Amino acid sequence: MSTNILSMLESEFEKTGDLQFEQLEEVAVKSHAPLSQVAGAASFYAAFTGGKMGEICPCALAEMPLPMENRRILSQKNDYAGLKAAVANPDGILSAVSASGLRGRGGAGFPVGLKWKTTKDCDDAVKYVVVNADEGEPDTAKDGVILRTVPHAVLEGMAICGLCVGAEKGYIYIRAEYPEAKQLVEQEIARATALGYLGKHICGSEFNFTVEAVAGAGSYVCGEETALLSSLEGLRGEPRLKPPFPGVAGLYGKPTVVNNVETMANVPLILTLGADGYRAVGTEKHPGTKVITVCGVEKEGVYEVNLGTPLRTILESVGCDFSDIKALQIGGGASGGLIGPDKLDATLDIEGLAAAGGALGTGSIRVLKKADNLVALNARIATFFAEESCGKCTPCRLATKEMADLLTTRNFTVDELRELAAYLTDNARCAFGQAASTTLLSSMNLYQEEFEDV
Amino acid sequence: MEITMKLNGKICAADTNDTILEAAKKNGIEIPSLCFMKGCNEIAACRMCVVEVAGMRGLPPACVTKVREGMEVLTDSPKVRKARHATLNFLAQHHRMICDQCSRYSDCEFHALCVAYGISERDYNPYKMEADKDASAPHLIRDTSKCVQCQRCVAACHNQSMDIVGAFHRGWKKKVAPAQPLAQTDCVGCGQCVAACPTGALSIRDDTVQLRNLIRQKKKHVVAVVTPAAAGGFGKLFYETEQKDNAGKLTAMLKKLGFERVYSSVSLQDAHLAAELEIAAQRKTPVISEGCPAVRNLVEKQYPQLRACLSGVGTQQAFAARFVRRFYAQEADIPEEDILVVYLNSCTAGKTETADGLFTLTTYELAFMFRRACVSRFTAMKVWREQLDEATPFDPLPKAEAATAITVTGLGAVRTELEKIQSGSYEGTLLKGAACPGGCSTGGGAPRHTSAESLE
Repeated sequence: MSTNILSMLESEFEKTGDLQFEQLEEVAVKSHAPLSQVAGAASFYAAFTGGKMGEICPCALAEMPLPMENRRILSQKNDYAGLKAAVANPDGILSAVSASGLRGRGGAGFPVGLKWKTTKDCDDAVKYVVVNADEGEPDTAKDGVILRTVPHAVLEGMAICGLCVGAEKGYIYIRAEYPEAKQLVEQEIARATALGYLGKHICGSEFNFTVEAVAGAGSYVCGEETALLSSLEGLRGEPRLKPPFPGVAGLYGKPTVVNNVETMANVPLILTLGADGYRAVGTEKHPGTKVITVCGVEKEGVYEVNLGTPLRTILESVGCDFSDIKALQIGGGASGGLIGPDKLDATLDIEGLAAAGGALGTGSIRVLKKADNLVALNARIATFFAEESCGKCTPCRLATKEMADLLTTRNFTVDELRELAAYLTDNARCAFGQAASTTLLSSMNLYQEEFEDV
Repeated sequence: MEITMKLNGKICAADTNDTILEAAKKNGIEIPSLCFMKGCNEIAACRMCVVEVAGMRGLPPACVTKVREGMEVLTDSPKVRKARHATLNFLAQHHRMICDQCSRYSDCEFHALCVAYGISERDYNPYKMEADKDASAPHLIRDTSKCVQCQRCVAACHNQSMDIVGAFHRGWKKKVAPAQPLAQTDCVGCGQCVAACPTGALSIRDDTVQLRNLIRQKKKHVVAVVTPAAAGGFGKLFYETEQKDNAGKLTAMLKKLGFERVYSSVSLQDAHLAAELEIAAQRKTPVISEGCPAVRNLVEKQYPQLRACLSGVGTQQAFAARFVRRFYAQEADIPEEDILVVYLNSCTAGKTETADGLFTLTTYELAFMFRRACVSRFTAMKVWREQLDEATPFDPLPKAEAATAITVTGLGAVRTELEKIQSGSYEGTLLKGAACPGGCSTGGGAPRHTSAESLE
């Protein structure tokens, strides 16, 4: 079914370390795709153009996440107990997931039960489950750590999802920068298939489900769910318009559940603990635990904490110097907004952070020191967005470049920047373009004087 | 289902299936758009059509946002105008705005928007920018430095099942172009991309200077063959209705430009078809008509194994040139070699063909030639209006019996039929295809709708 143009391009690229025109033509012939599509895709991804690949957060390379109390997601056993429970009572899956209050862990926090129901309610014979492991957000390493620590939990979650919505095929789209995680996932797929947890007649039932790990090719935008689907289809990683939402028309136009790695890793817990057991930790509106990445402190790393934990408590346990905090960047190193040091008592959950003027995002926390320069930080972020924009819509293609130029040359007025930032937020075509100015706006709101005097 | 909504404070009726753009249009409100082509390019990428909707975050694009009961929309608020101005400003910064030297001067959609939102070419320094031209093909020229990346050409090409044009690179380096220089691609020349382009990024190669010189040098007897598509299209430039027979005016006008004779192509087309039908009756396998040059190019480039099925009669324009040269040579008692037949059609694919004594000109080029001869488009309008309708229409040609065959229009549909021939499941004897979606009158060389508007 999938001609998988990207993997064909990848193997061609590996042959010569380059993509010559003849190679593109060959891929076009083999994949029965138009040359313009193949060449357009090849020129899009950093992996094929020799462009800059994404940075890997040092926290992802930590041997094992540092121990902390209440580890649930990261300490799951590979006995597929959740899947067994789901197979025993497939009709109960959706109500359990809905009752658990599980919300998407990729950033938007959409209720997972609702998402699954949309796809379950579609009559299509073919449906897909896609896991977003394109962790492109700087300062974020949690998905990589989850994949390396508990790959079975992600696969288990996918199978449960497939059983629930009626899908027989799943894809894990893993960012190109995590080859080791992809290898581990593939090993786990082989093991689970051998044990009958994946493949045909799972756990002796009529349910069939296979999973394929697919490598990304170096593009930040592909972390946006619809861009990820385009990329899976071998196209340029351009976000699609919503509606239609992927739940109704996603991969190859079929109903598709797209969930983050961490979201899927939560699913087996709901089945083993029960909805109430799952809700035992976390807040009423945002139950469960959260795997977070903490940077800019003594003990940088990936941790699992209960949702609703105050930021101060988290920072205390990782060796943060409270006398030297300029701001906290929460939610990601590129699209995360800043909150001031007066907001340390805010709790880590969607509502708690929203009240403090921030957003949970991917759940990363970077402590910015007093000596950190906000103009330089934002110049770096704007350049990142200008390079990573898919280029489809005018605001994201050209205004991010303008923002990067202004900030890099330090030739701007605050009003100019504010207008530009507002223009991007209001006009960009997808969430990524709209988020391109989040850090800048929050920086100026906190420390406008730094931008006045450059 | 009918709903009510508020457009700019006024209560209006609309249908649930309408987009804001459509609902506004129904209620007499124009919302500017650039990348939008109904049913073909609904990508909401340019952000020209953004509007304010009460309760919605940001500025949603009117072209793809559906209306709903009680929706309150502002289409021209200060916030909206400011956003559109900013968008145009960004596009203009990256657009080589040398309007007075551009093929689209006076009928450019992008320029019209710039004028409406107070963007002047003086605010930029287009002369600093380098042209980025692909002039490799005989029929059209792409100048990427004028591209606003609306991707309308990409959609038009996809709609024609060709997919020659695509998007390359990303971010501010993104570029819309074919994967290779156009001449090296499988482009068959239908020209739908030119017709779709809102700027001068795509233009028909202008052969009018060459033609004017040929007429002026008087080394050749230059005669014209006018297709109905060209006559109708040209009339549209002067606000004639589609039904209007422009033969008289057009003939008089072309003779003023120096053409010795002006013939209609109608009987020639009949004769061409009759010749092909005869061949089809003789052959045991289906025959592919060569009438449309783009269809012939498609067979040559992408279905070489079907070459033997081509009728061998030649394209309509080559057939016409052969016939008219022989006819006029006898009539005027001059050698055939001294006659040049100018085939006037709305066809860009025709320009990819070279044949003895044949010169192909599109309606679009003819319009330019006429305007230049009349100095300006206003005087051109005056000359056209004052031209007598009853003046001798087309010069006579021997009558041919009317022949008919079902024509398949659009390259996608033609491709389907070609594949049937390939698999042996084609049921007819003659496949007559026209590459352009609505037949020749919608050819890439027809005057664009906007060109007619700007003549006013």
